[in-house]
Amino acid sequence: MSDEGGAEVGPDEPRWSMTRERGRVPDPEEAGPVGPFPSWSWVYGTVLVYGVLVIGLLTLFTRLLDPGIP
Amino acid sequence: MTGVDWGVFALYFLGILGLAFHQSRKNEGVEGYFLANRRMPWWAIGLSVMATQASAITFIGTTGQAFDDGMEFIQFYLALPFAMVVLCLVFVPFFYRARVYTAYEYLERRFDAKTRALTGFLFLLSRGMGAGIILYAPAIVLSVILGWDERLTILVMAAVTVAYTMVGGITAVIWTDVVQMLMVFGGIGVALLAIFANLPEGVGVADAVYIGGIQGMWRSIDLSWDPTNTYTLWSGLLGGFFLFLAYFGTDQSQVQRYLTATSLRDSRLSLIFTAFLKVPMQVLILSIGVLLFIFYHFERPPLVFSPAELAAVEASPRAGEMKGLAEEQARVHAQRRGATFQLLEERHRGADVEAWRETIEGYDARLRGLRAEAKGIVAEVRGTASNDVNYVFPTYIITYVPAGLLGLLIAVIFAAAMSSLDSEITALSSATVMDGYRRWIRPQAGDGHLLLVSRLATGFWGLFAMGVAFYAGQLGSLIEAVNQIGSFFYGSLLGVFLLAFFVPRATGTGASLGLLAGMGTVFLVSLTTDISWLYYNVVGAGVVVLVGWGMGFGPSADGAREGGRA
Repeated sequence: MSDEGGAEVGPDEPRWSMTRERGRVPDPEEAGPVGPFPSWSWVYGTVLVYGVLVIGLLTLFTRLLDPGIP
Repeated sequence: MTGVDWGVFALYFLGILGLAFHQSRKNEGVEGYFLANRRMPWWAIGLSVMATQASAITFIGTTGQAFDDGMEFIQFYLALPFAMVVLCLVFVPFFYRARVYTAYEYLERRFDAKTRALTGFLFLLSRGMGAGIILYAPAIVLSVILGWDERLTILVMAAVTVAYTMVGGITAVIWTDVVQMLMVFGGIGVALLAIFANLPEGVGVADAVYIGGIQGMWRSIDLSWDPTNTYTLWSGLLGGFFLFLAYFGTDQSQVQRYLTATSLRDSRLSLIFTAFLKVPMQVLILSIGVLLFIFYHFERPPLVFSPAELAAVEASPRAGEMKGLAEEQARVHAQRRGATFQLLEERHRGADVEAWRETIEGYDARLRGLRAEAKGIVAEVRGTASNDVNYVFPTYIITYVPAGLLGLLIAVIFAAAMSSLDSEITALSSATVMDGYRRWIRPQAGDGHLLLVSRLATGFWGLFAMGVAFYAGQLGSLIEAVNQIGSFFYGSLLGVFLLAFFVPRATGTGASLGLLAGMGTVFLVSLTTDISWLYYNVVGAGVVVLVGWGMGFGPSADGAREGGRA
């Protein structure tokens, strides 16, 4: 099954905390492309960049539209 | 409301009921009722996640807040994309792979039964209250628009929502949420266009944006470090991050949504979808409030929007005082209106408008002062804080929006409320049945029996929400009320899950005591300091993790850990 296996965790033993995640084999659901993105890392990276861009744009928006700000 | 408006309104109700009953045929047993047999597509879940969070309060309270304070509330949402990444990486895999029905069921597997019982109980308490407030918000609208009794409105809306939720379960809830969320997107567009269309001749979109700018209404980012300032970039990023982790990661009304996905991948995609759409949607909703503020430069707004609050003052010895304030407001508003036209004329000619800008700022400060004085009188007469912000948007749409569109916007407000209420009562029902009834009362109950109990529990929570809604009128700004209620519980609940995921030494006893300590600390902090309520989540989570981690070194910790995983 995709959510089991690994050095520290037996095949039938579910993992209930992050400590038991160590040493497990990669999950097939986490591998491979996600839509237009090559991997999940790219998806997460894009979301993080998006979050920073939104803050940047709103800061710019505030500065441009508010003449009261020095 | 005209016949056309009523037609649009009726069409919405019939369409939602038809869709819900059609979808209810797909349910199979209690797993179908609570988890849609784990076969929902990610985009539908994503829209349902957004619909659950965006209630009518979002439409009514947020626009009113932006009318009074500008765009600063947007900072509350800025941590959402970051929180979604952490949720996808940590929370979602644990819940999805554990094949649980509720988030609290996971805690029993990691800790023990008492941790599950305590967290489940706290969820029921806080979200039961929250469901009542969600129900109350559109009742305000109809009490203003149609002169309906608030309680009758609550009763009608709850009856329809509870009916389709009882019959259709989560499948009906998610598919109706999809339609309701699309209606909300449409409603935002219609509201914005209606405001622009109602601007006076000669005043364009660029002029409107400019007027908002010179009065600081577009100010979206506040970089000040003052922890008592409710909405700053830092309170939003830190407090908001913890609040969103807690809300999307520990609140059953959200966890239940992504547990319905066909795969872990789809669960994650539903949250990524929300990460991209939520902030722009909130920007647009807040913009409606700011544009209303600008619109009311050209049309005189009521000094107090709430007819009930105004009536209470008019029937009191302070009526004369309020009348004086209203007359003063009319005079200053006329001066500001004239100055605004002058400023725009000068601006169109390319002249220096600094003097006009300062003049308008002066009038605006006076008008804000008059409104604050009026709200103060309302508070003194009624003995509770004014909740006038919630009447700004409804008053606008009944006064200025044309027939047909009015019915659509009212239907949108109802859609927003019902899409949140249905999710809440399904989640409350799932926690009641799976964490309470099946766990403690009838562990051997068959699927048919559990399905019947689940439907009854859904009905019970609908009634409970209705009871709370009857008394929700005393709670000030609704949007803040819901979030503040959540803040007393959410941070501490998050702390328990962080212990579960990241602190291997943590035990059930440590987690439970930590939870109580966290909530107690948040309560003390709220009583003794003026820090923004957004930081309560950080405090609550921090205390729980510290206490739980510390207790993991206790003499009985090893035995408790082993017992908890048995």
